Amino acid sequence: MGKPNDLVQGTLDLLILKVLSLEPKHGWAIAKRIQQISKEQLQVQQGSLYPALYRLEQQGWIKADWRDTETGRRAKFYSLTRAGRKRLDSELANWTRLSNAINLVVRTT
Amino acid sequence: MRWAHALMSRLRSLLWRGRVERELDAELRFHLDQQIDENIAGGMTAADARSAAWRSIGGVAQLKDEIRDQDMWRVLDSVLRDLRFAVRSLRRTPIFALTAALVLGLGIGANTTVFTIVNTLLLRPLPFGRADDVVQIRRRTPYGSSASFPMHDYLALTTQRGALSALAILDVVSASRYTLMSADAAEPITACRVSAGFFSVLGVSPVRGRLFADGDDAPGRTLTAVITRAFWSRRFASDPAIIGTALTVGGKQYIVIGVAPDAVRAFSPADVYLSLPVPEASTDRTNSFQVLGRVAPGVARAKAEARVDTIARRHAQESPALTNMPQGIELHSLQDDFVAPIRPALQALLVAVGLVLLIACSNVASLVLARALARRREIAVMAALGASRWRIAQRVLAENMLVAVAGGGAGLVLAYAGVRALPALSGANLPQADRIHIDAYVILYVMAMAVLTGVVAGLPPALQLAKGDLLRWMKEGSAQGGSGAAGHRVRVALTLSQIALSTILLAGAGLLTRSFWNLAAVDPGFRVDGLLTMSVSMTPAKYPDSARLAAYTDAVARRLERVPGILAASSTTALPSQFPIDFPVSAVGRSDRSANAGRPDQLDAWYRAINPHYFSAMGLPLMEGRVLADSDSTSAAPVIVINQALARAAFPNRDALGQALVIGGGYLTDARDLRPRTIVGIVGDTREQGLRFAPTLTMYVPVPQSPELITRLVLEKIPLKWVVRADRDPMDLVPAVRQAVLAIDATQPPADFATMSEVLGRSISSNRFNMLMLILFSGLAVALAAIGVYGLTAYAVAQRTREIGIRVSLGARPTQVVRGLLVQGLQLCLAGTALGLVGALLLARFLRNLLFGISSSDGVTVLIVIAAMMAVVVAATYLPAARASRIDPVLALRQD
Repeated sequence: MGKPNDLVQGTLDLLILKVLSLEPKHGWAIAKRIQQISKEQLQVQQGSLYPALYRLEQQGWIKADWRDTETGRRAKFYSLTRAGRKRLDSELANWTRLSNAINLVVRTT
Repeated sequence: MRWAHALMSRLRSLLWRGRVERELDAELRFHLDQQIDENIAGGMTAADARSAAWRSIGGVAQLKDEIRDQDMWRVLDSVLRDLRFAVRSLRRTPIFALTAALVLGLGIGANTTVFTIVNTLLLRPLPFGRADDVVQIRRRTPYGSSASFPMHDYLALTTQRGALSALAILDVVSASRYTLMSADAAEPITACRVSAGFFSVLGVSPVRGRLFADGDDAPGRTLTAVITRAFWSRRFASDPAIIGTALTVGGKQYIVIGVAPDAVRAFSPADVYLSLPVPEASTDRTNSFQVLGRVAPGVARAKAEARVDTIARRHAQESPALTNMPQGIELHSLQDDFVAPIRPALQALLVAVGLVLLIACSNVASLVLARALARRREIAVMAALGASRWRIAQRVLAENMLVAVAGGGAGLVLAYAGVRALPALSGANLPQADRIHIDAYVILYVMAMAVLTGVVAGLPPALQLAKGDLLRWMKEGSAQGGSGAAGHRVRVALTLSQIALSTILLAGAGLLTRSFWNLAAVDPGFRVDGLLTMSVSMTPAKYPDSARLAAYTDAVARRLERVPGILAASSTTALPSQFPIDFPVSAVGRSDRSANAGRPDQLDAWYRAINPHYFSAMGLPLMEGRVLADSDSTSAAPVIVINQALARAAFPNRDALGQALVIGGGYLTDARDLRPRTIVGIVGDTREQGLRFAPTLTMYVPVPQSPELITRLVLEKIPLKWVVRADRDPMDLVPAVRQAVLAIDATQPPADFATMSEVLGRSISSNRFNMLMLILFSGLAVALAAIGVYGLTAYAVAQRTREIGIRVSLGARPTQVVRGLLVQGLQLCLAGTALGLVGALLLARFLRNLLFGISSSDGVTVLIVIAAMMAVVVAATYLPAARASRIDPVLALRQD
């Protein structure tokens, strides 16, 4: 597994927004979900996950509330705000454009 | 919605930092537990699972720091960026920045100076222990209340228990002149005789030695003295050995027992406090003392007052012939009594500087607005690049805050200078002037003022910008074309407010100035110029009776009149406008009736014992009969000279000359003093109680025939005064006068040399102080308003340059252009002045107590104010308007 691949600046935000677009999740579940979908390719460290969550909340893209988990413990669940959903759309569009462009460059050389 | 969430979350982390931290802890804890559970599920032992989880999470503290940093940095960063931007943009327009800071500085400085006085005199307690509890006891009289008490009534009050924890009697004049004799010289000092409880009443502790304690005032005890710290250092170079030595003050020896702290100067400027022997019993009814008390801890003042009042009334019932407090007593807070004379002036000044600050704010607001509108394109670009309107308003506010803080700094410097200049400006009219200084409260006040003015002056332009049509601004370019009717309206409103507020101040200053002139124009009744006054503190032991005092004063008067330049000289018991002595007089021949009718037939008249040349020295005209002469000696028939007012009052339907008066009935007991005195002369009236009041009833008695009790009273309590008529500048004669007085008796040095106009000036100088301050502030206000009007017109001209150019090229004459602008200015002026006069009428009640011979809605003043305002507005409008008329149409049309 090793270190997560160096995420391009801002990519973690995109991943978090994407994961939260389905349903509200707590921090642990967000990390697990990213790990799982990326087939263990991406490991999200707590040291970058929580500051990112905090930043996104401050910017108003996501909001947090305390709920019970299925095991009955209290946890802080994050969900997308309406602005966050718009933000996700534009970030996704950006990302697609950027990755397509990079792919083009990488393949043709 | 997004900004709402963002704002909430930011507020939360700002306001509830503790709670956010706890939530973060709980969240990380949850994460850790999940990791541990997973590790156990993966086959680890519980201990291994825990340590592996801790490792994976890294340093919890570092993590928290990182999160915190993110938050703080963001806020700090945006504030710093705004400030950097503000500094940069202000540096590009230094004239604007300096003008705005200076205008706010003037407003804040004026406010801070007055607040500093108010802070010391009205808000801070006197520097005594629990100063609220220190009370001045006053006896009720049919005309209000009086602070003067006889010894007899004080002794009755000392029977109180529990209401007051300390009680003291002291001289009614709390700083009298005394002569301090030392081996080589006699020098005048100020002193106050106090009973043992005095320092306990004030609640101060000694700097050295001890203060008066119970028993120090018992009759027959060694006389003791407490000197003030300032006097100790000035006169004795702070020598500790002074304690235990003897001082000869007023002919008596006092042993110095201690040094009192500077705090007592807040009570009186006396150098020395002398112990006042308090007898076991007294029949003295002269009101020559005052009484202070300290309300006992835990007792409300009203309750203490009720209890002491009961004692006073019971005493009055038991011995009605001896008491001067038949209507009981009141307790007044010493602080309130101290500031009562100056409170109306301070209130008026507070209102005045408040108005000045409002004008300054309004002025700066219109400056900021004009500047912001000139920068519309820059602002529109900022908006186009994604800055929200709030963000733009924030920038304008940041700039304003910076200007206001600079203004606050300038204001503090101005206030510092102002506070230092105050004692000189106010003369002796500001109580405790040396206590007034800038302290932490004043600094806090300045900071609050700076922030407030920053917001008040910045809000109108910021709101104006936030509403503006950015798109149009982009297209319009620079300051050309319609600046928007809204912007114009705001500026007109601001200018209008400046004119109105200045009008209020001008009206106030005008009323006070006219009152001052009225006061100064009052005829005092005698010749003021060329008159020298001085005082000599007499040693009672050397001059125990009227005959010996008369011999001394006659010798001094004769000696003085031999000095070249001196025309006439006389001693007197009191100078005009100064603390007087009054006694009852009754006309002989009506006394049998008045005995039945009781007191109403008795008149109170000011008493004056004089030498024969008094009237010629004062320039007081003789109306009938003769003046006093050397032949009116101790052994001669008793005579008296009265003024016209007394003659009219005592003998309403008769010629007073040749009639007789008895003086001091009810006070004097010696049969010799109660002999009828023949009226040999009637002189002109003088205004004795100060120039504000009507002429007083006055009687003049030759010194040798002065009642012994009064002579003793004068010698012990009040220094003898002298009036000396000179044929040149009287102050030039001071050395010769001093020499002449000392030549008769070297142990009685003269002091307090002053010209009569200075003595009278003191009685109107408090009005001069109020007038000067208000003139200063209203001058400031008018100057600011003029700048405001000038700015408005100049801006309007700049905006309409192209229009004016077109009109001029189409044949309009320059005068037409100027006339149009002037008419606009005058319309503004009339509207503003009208508003201001209404405001002035509403605020005039703050001035009512300060006016003399004029009503608060004086028509002449109103006309002068309108004329002055007109002149200022026309001048401020004309300058830019004239410039507009000289515009070269070609250049104007080509302008961007």
